[in-house]
Amino acid sequence: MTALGVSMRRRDAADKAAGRTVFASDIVRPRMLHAGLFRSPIARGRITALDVSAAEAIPGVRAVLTAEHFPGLYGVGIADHRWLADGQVRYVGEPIVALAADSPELVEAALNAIRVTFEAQEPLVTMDQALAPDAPLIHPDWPDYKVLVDVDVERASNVSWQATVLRGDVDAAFARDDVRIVTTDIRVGRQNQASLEPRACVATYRDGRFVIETSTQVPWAVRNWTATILGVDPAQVRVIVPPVGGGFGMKFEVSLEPYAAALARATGQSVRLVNTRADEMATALCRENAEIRLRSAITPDGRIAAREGIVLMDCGAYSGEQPFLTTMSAHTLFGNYELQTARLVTQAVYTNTAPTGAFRACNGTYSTFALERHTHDICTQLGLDHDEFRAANVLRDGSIGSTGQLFEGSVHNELLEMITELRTSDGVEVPDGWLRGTGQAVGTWFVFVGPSAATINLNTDGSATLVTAGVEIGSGSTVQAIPQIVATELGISPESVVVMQADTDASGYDVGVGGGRNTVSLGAAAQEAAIDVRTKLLDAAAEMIECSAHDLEVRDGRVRVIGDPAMSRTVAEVATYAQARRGPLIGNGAFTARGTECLPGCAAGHMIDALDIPIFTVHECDVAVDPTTGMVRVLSYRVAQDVGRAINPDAIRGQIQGGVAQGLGYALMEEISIAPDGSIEQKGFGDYRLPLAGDVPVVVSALHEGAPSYGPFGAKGAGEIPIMNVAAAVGNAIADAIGEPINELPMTPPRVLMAASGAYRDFSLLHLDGDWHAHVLGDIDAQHPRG
Amino acid sequence: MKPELVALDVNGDVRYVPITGLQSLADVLRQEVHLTSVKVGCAEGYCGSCTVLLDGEPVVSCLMPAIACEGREVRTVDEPGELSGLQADLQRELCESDAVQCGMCIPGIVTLMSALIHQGEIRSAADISPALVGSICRCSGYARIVDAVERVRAAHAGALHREGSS
Repeated sequence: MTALGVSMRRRDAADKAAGRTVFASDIVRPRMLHAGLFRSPIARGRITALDVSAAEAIPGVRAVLTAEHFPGLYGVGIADHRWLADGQVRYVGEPIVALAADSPELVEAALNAIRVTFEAQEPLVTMDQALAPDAPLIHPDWPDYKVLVDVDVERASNVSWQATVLRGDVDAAFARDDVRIVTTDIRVGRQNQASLEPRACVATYRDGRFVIETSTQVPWAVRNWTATILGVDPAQVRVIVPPVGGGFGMKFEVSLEPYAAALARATGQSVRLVNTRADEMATALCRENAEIRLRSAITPDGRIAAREGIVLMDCGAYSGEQPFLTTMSAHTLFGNYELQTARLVTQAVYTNTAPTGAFRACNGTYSTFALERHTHDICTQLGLDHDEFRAANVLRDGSIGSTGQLFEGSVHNELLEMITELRTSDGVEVPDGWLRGTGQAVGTWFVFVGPSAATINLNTDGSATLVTAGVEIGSGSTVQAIPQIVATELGISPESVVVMQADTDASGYDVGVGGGRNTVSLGAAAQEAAIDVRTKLLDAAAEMIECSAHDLEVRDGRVRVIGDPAMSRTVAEVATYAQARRGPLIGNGAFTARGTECLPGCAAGHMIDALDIPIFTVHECDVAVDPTTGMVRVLSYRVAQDVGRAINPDAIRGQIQGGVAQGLGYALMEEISIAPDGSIEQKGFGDYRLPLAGDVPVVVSALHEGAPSYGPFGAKGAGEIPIMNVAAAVGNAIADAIGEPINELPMTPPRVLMAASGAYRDFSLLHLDGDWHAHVLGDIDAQHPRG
Repeated sequence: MKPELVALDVNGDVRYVPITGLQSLADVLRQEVHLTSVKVGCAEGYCGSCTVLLDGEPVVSCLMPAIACEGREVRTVDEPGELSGLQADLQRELCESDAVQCGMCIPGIVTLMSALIHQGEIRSAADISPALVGSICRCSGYARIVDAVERVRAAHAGALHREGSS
């Protein structure tokens, strides 16, 4: 019996429901110390004096560390981030001192005893302020920072990174006298990942090495970056990851680990460092606020002759993942539809605010909101049928993407048909006086493929032990899809596949769990390891049975001769035989991206020029809007999603339900605002409103199988994309209900009321005005040499 | 401030635990009794992951001063006493419906929903979402949790009904 396509349940659910699961935040070690960080109370300024002597003098305070203990610079794209501020602070909440003491109360007392004097400077809190011609530089040392990808652009502004797309003669297309031009401006706020388990770790220093148990999605990145930040050899760092209480992208970067590690080395004791909810509200690597302008030239027959875009992403005080993520607007904002010509500039902008980062589907969420609101504007303003426009223009088999990549399969069109089949008339009733609307959104996302390693030990009892750096963050891939893949290849039950917890001392390299890559990349490495060990198993069985290995198959825990099931041995018997004669059965697997071509010269400053495994999705919903209060109720919600191959259909549907819920929070209620002093105004779950049970309808979904993918058995990532289209579908539904555009997120009741009064009809972000070229750093033609 | 040794009845065992000032019950249960089933998602009373029973009533233990629990009965998901059967049913339903993802919120939801079903506070499926207003789940989108609670409520109501009619 195959384990594929089976909705097996989770092996970790019973302990989680019983409260027996030990998360990083639950770990206690002998003689464990507690740690805390002294954080900057101001957004921008020079540290003129720092006195930690009173803190050090408190009995029970074991170590007080400052910037010199953290010499290395961090940054995924640009190494611009010192882990403790050294002389200059750049955001409210920036750590300046790390300390450890015997109890949480002593940590508190020691933090209160630290004396810092600042020479405060005027903070640049908005991107508008940061991009003003006379704005001071937040990172005057930018030209000296190490960058991952060299770009030939001179840095003399607060733009930390720029990615551009240029394909075809856009000016000529806009100048055609038969096209009509539609412009849409969009502004979106930040969103906090708000995993229920905050960032948390316990570090120990023993035998000259750091052992870090941490709540992370990226054990190998934590290992390597901790070493860089502390200036030690990476082989000195071991990272172990217990079950993670939610990540959603916030735990895709190194965070607290270097502090705990340095304190453990300084004290010789284990050190626990756990963020409070207030810490997480102030410093979570939120989905960034952004500003977007889209302009399109539409031909008389309803095709897109040209599309022009400007995207400003607020990366906060340090760039983190954002240089990498500037890449994704080409594939999302300029995805979905066939464009005859295109030009796009995406800039990550430094501000004196907390750094932003990755959050499930990242900028795909607001890119899709902007693009699908723009599509709605095009159809409404030009009197085109929305369904016909989408069906005629979506990417299909043979389409060329914005960077010149060739798409295979007409998945969008098939999804558009599937979503109509999910429509039902028996929705929830619309309250008296409320307005009803329906909205649809198309989306294009990808699998963040990249290196993964796997080892499988096939044991003499017939079980298999899978060793990877895969982390269980709640999505279930390491307890459902991945053991199902291994079990299928080895002909054993998924329950017989033991999955080892991530430990960088045991497993090979892995990029991390996120970007929809777990089942694809870790799954493919695990599949290859399973095939490797199966080959050895069949060789040994052939010797035992005295036949050719080609005549053997393994099913239901037995190796048997094809066509003669009486001739068989159990996997355990063969593994025992093999171990005695050749040594234990071990298989290895390695995987990475194959790479996909794009047109030369189309993309500049991009870390991903083309999507290796694109994923497509269509969402649709019905909403009711109260025109008196601006309240929005989501009446029904449906999703048609390209999954490649559904290895565990119920697990995928669980991701869809949960992803849509987070998307509804983003669309309607989760608001973060930044005060003039640069601090985040929302301090906890009292003023940061997360979706509750009554806010989320049951999501109806249809899973599309069979689209091309080189993932295991044709699988694609299924957990990240469900959040992506939600704000777009809800926004279009609200616009439909009120008969007016709405161009800002979140769509809280006050904004919905504004929209209903026509406030967004001529919504314009003035600093995005003017010629497109004026917004581009450097010589655009030099950055896009034609091949 | 010096801690005070206080007798707390936790899961049927009376033990002396050091309590400092207005230290929360959640902190004392986690740090002194090592009951890490009591999860702390916010420590501000909104997420509900630290819910325990105090004299049979569900409370968010992060806002409850431990000192105020002296002489009262504290029950956690580990030893729910007379709610054992109901709670086991709910835990099984949550597992079987694949409702559990990261798992941080689940112990608190199990405790809260078992208590409310037991008290007859949840009389129909429509009562469940409003009763979860103090329970934040960031992973699941709630639908499967609500369904699992409804199945247990319906089965429990049926059992009560049969008891009443026999």
